[in-house]
Amino acid sequence: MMSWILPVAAFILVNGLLGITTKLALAHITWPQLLLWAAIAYALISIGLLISGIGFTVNAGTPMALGTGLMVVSGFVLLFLALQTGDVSRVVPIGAAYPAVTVIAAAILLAEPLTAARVIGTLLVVAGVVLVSTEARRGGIPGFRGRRDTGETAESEPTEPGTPGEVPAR
Amino acid sequence: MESATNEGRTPAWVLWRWLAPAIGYAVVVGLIGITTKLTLDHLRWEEMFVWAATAYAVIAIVLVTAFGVRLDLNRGAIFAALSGLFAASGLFFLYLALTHGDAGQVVPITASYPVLTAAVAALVLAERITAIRIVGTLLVVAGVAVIGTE
Repeated sequence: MMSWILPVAAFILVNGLLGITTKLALAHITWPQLLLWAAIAYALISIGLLISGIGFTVNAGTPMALGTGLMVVSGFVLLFLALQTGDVSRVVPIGAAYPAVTVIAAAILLAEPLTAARVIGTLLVVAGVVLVSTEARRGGIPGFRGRRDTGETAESEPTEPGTPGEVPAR
Repeated sequence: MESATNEGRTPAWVLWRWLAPAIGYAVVVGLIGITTKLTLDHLRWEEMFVWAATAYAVIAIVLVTAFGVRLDLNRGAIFAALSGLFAASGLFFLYLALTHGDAGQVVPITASYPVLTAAVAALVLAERITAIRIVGTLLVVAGVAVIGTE
């Protein structure tokens, strides 16, 4: 059994549920407030890890670890910025392409094999996610309403519900 | 139709207001798997998590001090707290998976989570299960199977 399968399954489970709770939360609060709650959760888990004695190393990997953390937060912010002015049905397909970026970058930067299975599998996943996500989003995501590029912004304006499965507040 | 009509008179800068962050999202999130793998050569995933929490704390401080964001303890707070917990757990498991698996396998499979969201939304929020959603789900399952059985 591949040792990464279980954490991947756990990731899918919690991120799948994250879409539901995010949707319910955004009916009452704004995305910056949601980000604050995420920061609190991160802090609590980190305190738990530190108390459990994981140790803390500062070495050559530290800047990249912090940079990765900033990328995680940036992804969250960028998605919400895109959703504030763009139609969900147009933002989601672009955002859902991120696994393709990973597969290509992994081949270039990590010398991982760019196999036919990975390329085909990634394309299938991306296509499927686009279908599942955009089809459900005719009404948009609570807290946002795409203005179809009229230049207007829409902050915290509830619309008909959609499934914010592509709004991971990582 | 409406979208096409409006698109005809859309200035480029307005288009880029959403297109730039959308592309930025795909690139930034797509590279997370790469920088994680590179960092795991030097640090353990638990330490990486703490650094991610540090980044969150920095952004949270900026939001509070510069933009005056405050927590509203209303009905949404419970779901927001749960979302935060799920989000943090998600990264926890992603880092753990990437310590053992290739980024090119792990990340595309983890990207399938919207299918679960749609399924739970159908059960909990009574959202519709349409033919398009079913087709999309089947595509995702096929993609995961192709990558997973490599």
